[in-house]
Amino acid sequence: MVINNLGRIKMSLTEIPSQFATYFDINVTTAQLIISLAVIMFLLLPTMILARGKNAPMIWLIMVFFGEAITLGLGWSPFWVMIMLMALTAAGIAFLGSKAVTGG
Amino acid sequence: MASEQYAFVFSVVYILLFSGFTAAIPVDLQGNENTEVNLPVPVDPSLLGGYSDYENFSKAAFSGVSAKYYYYPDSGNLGGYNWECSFGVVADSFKVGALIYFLNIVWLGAVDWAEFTNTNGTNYGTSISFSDIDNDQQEGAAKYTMIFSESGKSAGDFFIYYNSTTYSDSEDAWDNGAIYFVHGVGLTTDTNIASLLLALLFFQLPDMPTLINLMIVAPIWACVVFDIWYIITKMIPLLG
Repeated sequence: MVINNLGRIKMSLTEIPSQFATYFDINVTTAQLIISLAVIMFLLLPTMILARGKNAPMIWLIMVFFGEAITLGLGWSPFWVMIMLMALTAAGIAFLGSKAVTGG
Repeated sequence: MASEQYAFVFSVVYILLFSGFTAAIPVDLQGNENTEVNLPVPVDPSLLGGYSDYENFSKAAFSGVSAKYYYYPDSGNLGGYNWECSFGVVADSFKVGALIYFLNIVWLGAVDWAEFTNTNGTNYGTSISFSDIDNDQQEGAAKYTMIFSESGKSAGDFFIYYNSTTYSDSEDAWDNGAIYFVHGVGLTTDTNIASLLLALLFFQLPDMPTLINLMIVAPIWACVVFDIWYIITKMIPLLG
């Protein structure tokens, strides 16, 4: 946070988790996780309510990735959350794909 | 065996998809968070790693009445600019900025100053003072990311380090000429997927909790081992 010569506070978006953590007196990592989860849920919950039908889980997955990409780009989300998401998605697609290939 | 074939296809597809997804992450998103700086002093700047170009200097490089240091890196320019690091323009503070050339030819004195942000995300503005360095240093090393105050573009990373056992604070180290600066610019743009995956598989990624790493990597190792076993057992009849 910088107070410029007009007395106005200038803060960048990347500082929000650390300010949040200082305000609530918690760990910075915890603050990052809470804020990233809030952003992702804000995008995901309406999608889950509105998207119906056979392809709904695919749309939910796209929204989760979208939210995670936003929070990661802002620096609010730890990097390993993205890797974990990708591991789960790869496992899910591999299940479906191998079932289709081997028919079993 | 249908189930073995299914498991083989599953493991191959899983490994390929996971590597593909990991390779698809843009370089800028990797390592965009708080990293602890734990440097022995003085340190070989190339160990800091990840920079396409860097400049290291200490107090001896500063000259002139108001203690400025101009660096014109040999290999072209550091990130495309020539730089000035000055001390004392704001009392007891350092400023770093890129020289703005008039019509790209002559320098008339204009400098685009960079704003310092520490690893916790606190922005100090365009000057960094000894008290800020003392607040941020861990074992004598402080890391700042810099962005240009006018355009908001990245100006690289700035490391300040000194021997914290010999000198009680950074101002002491400066007075004795034993404070070192490294300015690194540009992430290495070769997205080396192999090194990222190997680091992940061998638990060598920085800032990755071990348990999470284990959760992600255990299925991959299981798939690799299974694939090797499957291929070997299928090849055995052929060898007979």
